[in-house]
Amino acid sequence: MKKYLPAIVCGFGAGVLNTVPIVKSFSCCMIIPLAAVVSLVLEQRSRGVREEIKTKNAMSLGLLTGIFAALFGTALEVLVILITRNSDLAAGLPAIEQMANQMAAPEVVKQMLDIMYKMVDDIAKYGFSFLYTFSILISSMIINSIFGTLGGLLGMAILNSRLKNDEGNF
Amino acid sequence: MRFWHFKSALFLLLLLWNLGIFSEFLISRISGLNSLLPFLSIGYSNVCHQSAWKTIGSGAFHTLVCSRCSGIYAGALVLSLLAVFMRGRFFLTNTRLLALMMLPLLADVIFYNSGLYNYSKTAAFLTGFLSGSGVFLYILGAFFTMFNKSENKG
Repeated sequence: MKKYLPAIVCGFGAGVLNTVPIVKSFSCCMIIPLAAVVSLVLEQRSRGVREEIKTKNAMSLGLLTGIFAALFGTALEVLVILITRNSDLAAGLPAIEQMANQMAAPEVVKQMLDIMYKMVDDIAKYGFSFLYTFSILISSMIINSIFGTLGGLLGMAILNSRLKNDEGNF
Repeated sequence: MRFWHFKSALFLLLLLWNLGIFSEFLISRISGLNSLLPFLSIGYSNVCHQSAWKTIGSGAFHTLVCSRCSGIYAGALVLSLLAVFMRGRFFLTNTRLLALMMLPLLADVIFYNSGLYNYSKTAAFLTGFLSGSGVFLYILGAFFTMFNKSENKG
């Protein structure tokens, strides 16, 4: 459990920050990779060592950070939707429907729109939609895993480079 | 050859990612794509705030991420294409140079948020492009080291 703690802590932090609009407008796509880098630093500090980080460890810690960020972020997003009874989907749907009508979209598109309107209605009535929650969970799992892994690689390169410079100075 | 194949795969993935960003513009050409739009938008919301007035586009169609993010991913895409054709060490290992390439982006974010000037999509895109290029080359360097080590072991 101790070896997963840095990923859990940084994943939680990244999940929270991803939900806050002001922070998100500041940092865009850098939250998850930065969380992965911090996770690597914390992992080394918790073991009390300063050694070269292996690629496999960096990628796995980055991946775990991304996964935890996705889980915590989705949980928080669901909580926010439960309280506000509103979602980003509701804002974008009318425009999509207008586009679909203008382009005489096929029947399957209209059925997809019905599903999406059902999601928006469920959120407005009950504060929760299983399909919407599932969508954000799957998408954030995939994307945060990729960005977390890349962040792990980035962190590995930066920390190993600093270690080499420090060893060179000695 | 292995590293070349990897670089090509990276380019294709980045191309798909960038095409997704411009999904709204592609709707008119590929039927049925607009049903995927809300799900694509949900996906890209994980990496961007998606504020409508900061996205690239006019009228009905906009990018699914802001100008800055569009620049970051466009920079990574262009450099990934160059990396496919370039032989030798086409990557970055100098952390200071990476920090230097990200400095304009950081400065733009700070100056805009402190009210020094109004948000400029062009400035956001260009600073993002420079940062994205730098980060891509740095990560490519990390992958190259990984490939080198595994080839030395094998």
